Amino acid sequence: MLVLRTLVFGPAHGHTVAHVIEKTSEDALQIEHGSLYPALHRLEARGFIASFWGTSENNRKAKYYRLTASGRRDLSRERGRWESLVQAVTRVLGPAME
Amino acid sequence: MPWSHLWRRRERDEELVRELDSYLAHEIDDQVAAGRTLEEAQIAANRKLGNVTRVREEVYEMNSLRQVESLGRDVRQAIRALSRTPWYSFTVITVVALGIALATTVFAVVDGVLFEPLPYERPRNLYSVSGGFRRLPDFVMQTVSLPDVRAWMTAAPDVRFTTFSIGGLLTISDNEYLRSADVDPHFFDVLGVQPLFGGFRPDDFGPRTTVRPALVTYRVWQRRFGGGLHPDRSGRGRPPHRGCAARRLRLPASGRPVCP
Repeated sequence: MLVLRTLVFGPAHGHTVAHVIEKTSEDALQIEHGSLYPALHRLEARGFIASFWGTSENNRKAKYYRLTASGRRDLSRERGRWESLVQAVTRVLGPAME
Repeated sequence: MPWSHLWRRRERDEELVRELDSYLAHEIDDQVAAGRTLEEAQIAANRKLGNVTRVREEVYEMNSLRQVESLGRDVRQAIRALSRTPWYSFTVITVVALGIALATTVFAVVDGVLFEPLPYERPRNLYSVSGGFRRLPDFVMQTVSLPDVRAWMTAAPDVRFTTFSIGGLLTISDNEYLRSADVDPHFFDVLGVQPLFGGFRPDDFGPRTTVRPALVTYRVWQRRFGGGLHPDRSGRGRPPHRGCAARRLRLPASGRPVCP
């Protein structure tokens, strides 16, 4: 879901996706960047993202990923599920105890 | 997983290596821009990426059919093990092959003899009802009688019946006999086959018929009466019909068959 959310703003390569997740979460989410690539390939196999080779801002060859229509629908669905889960957990925890 | 990923696993693995190299290059650029030396940047980039081999294996397995891969490895291992002891392997394979051949032959014979459908039209719809007697303490009861069959024929007009009873031995020559059976006019219609040549006429079964007709099997016709391919109306030979009565004979009162 995080990967799909990162690609909402436009195509990005793996290095950018990893850094965007870390920086957006204010370094709360520290991921091993290598583990991102199997996730990207899995999402591509499911048709949620598509890839193409391009040239990066550093003028280097990079494999870019972009969100597909199917991926956009899945992101919306997963986001709704996540929000329901968060609300449920919040209700269980209740207001902060003194 | 798309099937194309399975066929292009090597190609996709090479592409992943290029992709990881691209990541390292970008990360090193970032680290150098942050003020680190090239060597420090390379170490930091590799640390951040993690175990490249594990990543490649994970993606490779994702694009594989694990069971097929496992089967292929097992087969290769078996071939290597067998090739280390060729004579032992040859003996084992030969014994197993002979065993399979023997079992196949036995099952083919059993299937042919016991389970092969009868050479009649719709053999699964044929049922045999046997008559007989049942001995009870005070009397003997006939289980199925000819009047029963006639009653069934009347009650179920859609079902076709025929009567068949084992007859005696017919004398062909001094030391040759034939087993015979008595049938009614519906016999061949029920079985769905017709005699190769000849057949019954309606008056053959009349109450006053004194000369009984008989039909012999194709084998008897060939062996005893010198029959062969019988010329049909067009003058060409007709193929023999398996198990079908073939030749019409007239039996005098003595029971000795005479060719018409």
